[in-house]
This record gives sequence, structure tokens and C-alpha cells, in this order.
Amino acid sequence: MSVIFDASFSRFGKRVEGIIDLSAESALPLVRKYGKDIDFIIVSNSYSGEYNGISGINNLVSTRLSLDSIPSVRVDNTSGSGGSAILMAHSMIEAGVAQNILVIGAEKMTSYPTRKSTSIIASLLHPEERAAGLSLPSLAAFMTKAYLQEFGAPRESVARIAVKNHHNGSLNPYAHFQSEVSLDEVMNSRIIADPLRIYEFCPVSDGSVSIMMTSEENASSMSGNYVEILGTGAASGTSSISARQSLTSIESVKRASELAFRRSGVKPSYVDVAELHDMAAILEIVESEDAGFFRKGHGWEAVMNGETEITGSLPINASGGLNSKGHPIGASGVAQAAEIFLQITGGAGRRQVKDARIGFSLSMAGFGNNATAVVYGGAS
Amino acid sequence: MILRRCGNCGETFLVPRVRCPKCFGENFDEVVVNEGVVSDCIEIIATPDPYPERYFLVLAKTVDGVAVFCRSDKEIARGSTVVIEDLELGPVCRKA
Ligand SMILES: [Zn+2]
Repeated sequence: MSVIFDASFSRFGKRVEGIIDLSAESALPLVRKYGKDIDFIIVSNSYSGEYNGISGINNLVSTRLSLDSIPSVRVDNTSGSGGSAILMAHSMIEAGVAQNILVIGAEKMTSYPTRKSTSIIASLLHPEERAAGLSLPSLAAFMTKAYLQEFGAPRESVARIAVKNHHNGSLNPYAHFQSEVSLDEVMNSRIIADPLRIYEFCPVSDGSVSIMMTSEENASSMSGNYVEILGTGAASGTSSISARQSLTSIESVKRASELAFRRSGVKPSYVDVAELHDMAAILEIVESEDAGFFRKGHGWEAVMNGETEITGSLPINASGGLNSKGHPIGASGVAQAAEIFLQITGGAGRRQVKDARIGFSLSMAGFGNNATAVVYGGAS
Repeated sequence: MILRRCGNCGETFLVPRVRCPKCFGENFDEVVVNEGVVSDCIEIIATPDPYPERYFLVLAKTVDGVAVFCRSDKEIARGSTVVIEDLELGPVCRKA
């Protein structure tokens, strides 16, 4: 079994540093502590070619850290890169290929105007579908309209995700947005893709997060706390949006979550804290259902009842989620794992979920092209 | 707009494949589509380069039941029939 035994964050937001310095910023505190033991580096990053004119970022970062001789690889799976990096590190440790893996998630995206950025990210869609002017925010708008209509959910339930996650982000010193927003502010903010408004989307952010992973045998000989990875699940859905059967359910999320729960022997009802991929507010509701936390069509009720707040029965995105914390694409999935590590080891400060023992993260690529779910537990 | 129809089972789809997703057949015919019925329509204000700064995106079903996307400068109600035309900057549609 693999474990996470430390985590380090950079502040998310608009940063002046370049992608290599940003990556090193979160990694350096871990390298200072564990540098002589690190035997593999995984860099989760998707768009350093497009945004930063860099290829082979893993080697550039390892040299910046003076870990030149440590083997490394870049994992690119668009928005799901971080989950894939965790899955890869977990698998390498389980297979005995590496002992102590430094996983760095990083992206630098604010150097281009938003329209250019939207275009870069839309390149994960098929050209035949993208040709109409499709973007990820527009797909979220179609999903929102379909969800509200199919399940009779009030429009306010989607906006409440933004209110909740901005509140949570205001408690997270690493979040891009550090202030709360009211329901009125969300509902009256600028429309991006009707009916969704600007506060209901994640911002374009820079940032990096690093974690250390090892085997449970190694970790048990260490002095600090660690969190076990109890189970993982990876699944793909079709990347052709026009070939999908439903606009209100994400097949890859359902199957990845089912796998992770089955392999971990944990039921969704056991989960104390979850981080979901809320690139758009509606996704948090849909994923909370597809992951098995709520019945299909009822996730919005949990939001309205406050069940997913930090003090609720299933806190979702206590970190602020992508919605408030920000979504530096390669960093996001690693940040989810780092947040669960903090929550289970009791280090989440003002956003600490009481008695968090079992955690769950859902890292999603594209608009559900694929997903990686992870179940965590067993804090020492 | 061009769709692909499997020569073996008749499955029709938008995104090109070298194997049919239904029967794994490898022979396809191209089908030209210029009409659909609107399933949904949303207005998009934050748009990607190089598209206009504001437009409506229409999700339409073709006669074969294939979901396709096209752009419109006007809102088009669900259930309306649209005429689809391929322009240099992608497919656009207007109410029939
Ligand atoms: Zn066929």
C-alpha cells in the first residue's frame, strides 16, 4: 500500500514567477527534508508547451532542484493530470519500482488573455466538435440547463456551490480567491455561458503543489503522520461529446468511483471529506451523485440543506475547490490529494473538517473524458 | 456538415473513427447533413479565440439521431428545425 507522508503548497493565483520556479517553490520544502531519499519525480503538468513554450518540464524542474540524476517523467492528462500522477506514483510504489516519489503538480496559465486560454483548453475537444465554437464553459452551461430541467432543481442550488466554495477558499491561505461571495453577488455576476455566471467557474490560475509518497512499510518507520491510499479507480468515457448518452451524468466519474470504492472496501457513506472537480459549479453536484454520495437528481438538495458544507455530514471541497482555490490545471489533482492529506492528519487549519478519517478525491480530464478517483484513510 | 455512416451496421456519428463504435466495421460512407432539430441552445459570452465575442451555441439532432453543435447569431427555440451550413469558421445554423 502506498501513503502520502508530506505536502507542500504554493499560493494559487496570478503569479509573476515562471513555471519552473513555481514548480520548485512547492517542491523545495520537501526536497530540503527528503532530498537524499527521493528516487523518482513525477511532474503533473498539461500545458507548459502551449502556455510557457517548454517541453520536458520534468527534467528542467529536477535540475532546478539539483536532483539532476533522479529519474523523472511528466504526466499530461489535461485537467485530470494530477489524479493520473497520483495513480502512477501509487502503482510504481506498489510494484516496487520506486520507494520515495516526489509528485509535483504545476501550471502557469495567466500569461495569456482569457479568450486565448479558453481556446488552448478547448483543444482537448475533437476538432469536428470544437469547430462550432465549443468550449468547456459552454458544455457546463448545457449540463446546467439539462440538470435543472431534468430534476426540477432550483437555479439557486448551483449558485450555492460558488457561495460555499468561496467561503471555504476564504479559509485557505493558498486559495486564489480569499474572499466570500453572497448568493446575490453570484446570481448577479457577469454571464459567461448562460445560465452560468463568472463566480460559478474556476478562475484561470498559476500555482503548484507537491506531495511525498512512499510505501506503508517505509512510512511506518518515519516519525510523522501519513495517509494511506486505500484504493484507486481510473475510467474513461467517450471523448466525443456528441456520442454521449446523457448530459447530466458522467460515465467516467461513475466507473472510476465505483472501482476506487470497491478496491478500498469503503462505501461512499463512510467518507468524511471529499474533493471534487468543480471546474464549473454544476460539476460538483453531478459528480457528487455519480461518485455515489447522493442519488441521481438529489445532489442539489444536499447543497441546499448544507450537507456539503465544512460542518455538514459530507463536506465537499473544503479547500475551496477549483472554484475558489483556482485551477492551475496540472496542479489541481495533486492539490486535492494534498488537501485530503491535511484534512486526515488534522493540519487543515480554519477549514479543518472535524474527525476526518476517510477521504475521497475525484480528478477529471476534459469534460469527463476520463477520471481518477482515490479513497484515502488510515492516518497514523 | 459531414457525418460518417458504418457500411456494415448503419451506425452514424460525427467524430471520425477507423472502427465503428458499435460493430467494429471499418468501412464508412460520408453523409452530408444540412438540417437538424434543436435540442438546446445556450448563449456564450466568454468565447474562445478566434470566434466572435458572443454567440449562441445550438445542440441539434440530425435525422439519424446524431447530436451536432453549430453556432447561431440568434437564440433558437427547442424543437425548431435548423439549416446547418459549414463555413470557414465552423458550422453555423439558422431557423429553417
Ligand atoms: Zn458498425
